[in-house]
Amino acid sequence: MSDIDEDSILPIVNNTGENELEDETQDFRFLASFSSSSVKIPKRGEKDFESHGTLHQTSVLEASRTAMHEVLSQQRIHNPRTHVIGTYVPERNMAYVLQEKGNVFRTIGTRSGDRTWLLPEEALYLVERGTLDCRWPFEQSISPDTNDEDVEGESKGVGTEGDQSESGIPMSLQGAYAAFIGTEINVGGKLTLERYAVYSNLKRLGYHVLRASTFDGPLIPPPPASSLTNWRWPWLWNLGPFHDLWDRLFTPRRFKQGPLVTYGLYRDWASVYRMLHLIPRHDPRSVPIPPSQKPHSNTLDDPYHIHYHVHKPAPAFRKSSPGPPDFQICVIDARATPFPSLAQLEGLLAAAPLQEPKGTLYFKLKQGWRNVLLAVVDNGIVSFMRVSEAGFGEERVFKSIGRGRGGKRGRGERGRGSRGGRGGRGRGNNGG
Amino acid sequence: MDSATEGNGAVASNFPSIPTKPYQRPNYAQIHQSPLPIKIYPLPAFIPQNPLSVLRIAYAVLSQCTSSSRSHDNPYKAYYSAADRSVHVTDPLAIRALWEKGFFGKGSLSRSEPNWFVGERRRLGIDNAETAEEYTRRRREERRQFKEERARQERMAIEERLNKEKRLAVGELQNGIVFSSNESEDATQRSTSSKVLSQTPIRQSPADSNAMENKEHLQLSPEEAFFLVYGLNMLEIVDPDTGLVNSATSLLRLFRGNSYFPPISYSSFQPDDPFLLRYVTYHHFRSLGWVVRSGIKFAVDFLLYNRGPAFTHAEFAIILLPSYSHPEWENSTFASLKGGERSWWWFHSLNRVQSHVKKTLVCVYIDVPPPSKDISRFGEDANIGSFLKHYRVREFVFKRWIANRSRD
Repeated sequence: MSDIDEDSILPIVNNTGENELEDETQDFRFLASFSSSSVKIPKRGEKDFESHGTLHQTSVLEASRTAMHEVLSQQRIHNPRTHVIGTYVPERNMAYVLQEKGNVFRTIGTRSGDRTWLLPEEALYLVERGTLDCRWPFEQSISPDTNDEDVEGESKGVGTEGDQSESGIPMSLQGAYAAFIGTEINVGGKLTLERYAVYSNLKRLGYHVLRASTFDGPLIPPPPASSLTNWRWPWLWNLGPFHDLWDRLFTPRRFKQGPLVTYGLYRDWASVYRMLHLIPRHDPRSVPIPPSQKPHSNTLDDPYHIHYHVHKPAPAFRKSSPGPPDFQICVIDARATPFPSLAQLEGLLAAAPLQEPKGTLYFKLKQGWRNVLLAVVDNGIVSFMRVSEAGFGEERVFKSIGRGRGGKRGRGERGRGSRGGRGGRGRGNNGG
Repeated sequence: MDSATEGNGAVASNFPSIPTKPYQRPNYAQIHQSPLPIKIYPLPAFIPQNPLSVLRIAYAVLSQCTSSSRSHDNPYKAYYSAADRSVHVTDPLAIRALWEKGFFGKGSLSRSEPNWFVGERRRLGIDNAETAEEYTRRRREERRQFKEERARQERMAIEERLNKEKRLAVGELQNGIVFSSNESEDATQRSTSSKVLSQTPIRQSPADSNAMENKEHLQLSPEEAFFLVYGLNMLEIVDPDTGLVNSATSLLRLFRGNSYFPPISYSSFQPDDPFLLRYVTYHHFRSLGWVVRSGIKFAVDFLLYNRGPAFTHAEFAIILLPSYSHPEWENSTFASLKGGERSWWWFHSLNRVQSHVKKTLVCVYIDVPPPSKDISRFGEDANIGSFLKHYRVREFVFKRWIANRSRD
């Protein structure tokens, strides 16, 4: 099983409804197709909720059960040709592999010298997947500074039965979880269970996931290069008496007690709406202030920063030059972290690149100018959320008023046919 | 189409006899031409090929200068009801105008559009103008019947299969048939009887119907009322006891105090009073051209409609979140600050509701200015505009991301 690419197991979901595969009970008959040589994309059947006593239903259920048991009872073997042995290094809480085998190493691990180093999540993922056989280190190699030569000298004879790294004590899956998760604050990044859940989740779906530079926390703030942006906020707030004077001199009289739209002769709606403009609008193009540069912000233990860069599965992907990520993801523990504040969201989105949205009005607003993924992990259950900075201030809806509105009768409140089918199969209504 | 079905049913005084032709949907683009209850005077189009168009423009300019064509009519009258914390408009003409030009308010006896009167008249068989509520009811009934029919067919298919299997192996599985045939009969009976009930209008004699009066008024939310007063000056909120018109400042004070329960006096006002947060958001989106209406039915603060509820579904659902980034808030010990943290469970439930009704959830953060900027300490002369300009509004769209479907 472990050698089959996980991508092909996932059935293609072609409907765009809210039902997801993981929300439903699986029909295990589709597994039967994998035990045979021909791999077909299985078809999802209809939901059955209660037994209605037909032989047909019983036989379908039985077929599904046997398929599942058949798959479970299959003997799983490790092909000696793809048997990868890794060694755990407690000092760095990482594992290294001397000889890469198989496709997984195209996207995983960092090669330095004759070793491929695996980050804790990478090693754990490979152990869990059955690809990596991780070994506890030798007694003598606990202090690698002294014995490093020794180990490397030994490893020249990789592949022979008497290889030292192969005779280490095998690490169990439980052992791997205990070793890799949690304990490496001072050795290159702390892997939490939440982050591993997100990492493995995305890896299993075929994405390429790499650690971001801010994995361990927000970067140490560079010296404020542009003092202008740094001083923007105090400048806005703290003008004190000058600000009041400024207000008195330059605020139009109509702002005081209204009406904002004064009596007059208006030629178009845009001029009316311009007079209504009062609340400052945010310009999404403005350079966001990194949270660390903002006065009075407590960023040291801010959980809202980018943890992983996610790349879509593309054949051209190379781990040495991954290119700009498709998504940037921030992992949040739902139990320990409240919903983000404005400052936290601003800081998070400051890391995302600016992309001007294009398309229809609704699409542009939903797309937003900057976006980041939030992975909210609640006791191992991951729900992804896309947060984007919507530029409502950029879209002047009033400009389209009165344009192209010649008595379109077909569209209206009652033209709801396209959305009327909502609600799907409410089983409560039909007495089923 | 006669005048009563045009959508002006509430103000028609002479009732026509029961129309015989089928009901036709009114032209909403015509009715809701103006997005706000004020008037504009667009110039005629300039056509280069037609030199006469210049004359037409010149005539329009001249006639508009001389005649009394101005943007504002006389303000509509309304009064504040402390009992339901809303502003009541009772004049039928004002009700129609506020609804048609900008979709302000809600009929006190209707779902949204103040059309209780129209619906009643249809029920009594006087008119045949269909209301939105009725349309929804009919659609739901159709859907219910469709589901019943589908369930019946499913049961029949099972029955058929059971029969077939019984023929193959006699004596097996007999229990299922009896109960299912009974139930299907029951269901069809129920559906026909309900159909009869809902489709028979209660007929009254025309003499009775003339005596019918419109018992509905328009409810404006405090934000809508303040916008109409402060933004457009198209509403006057009259004190029912003294008969005096409330100024914008006194109105602001009234609404801020009443946005708490029990109402508070203005010595304890804060810049994050619920009314102020809501008004800032309301004004922000209104001034961008959106039609903003209450989102209470979807567990959010506001809904944004592109042209109005008569044309499109609301695409965006707005939830308000106050933010206190000003340094002055750091060392203050206001109670409002402490309740600020929301949990992810709260958010997930909210997001689930929004995705179910196919709306996009927008978290609107409102950066609240410090109390020193508040104008509640000033008297009647306070500068409302320069105070409201200190609020900052940021919109963030939250949407579930499905890893399975974002791969390519």
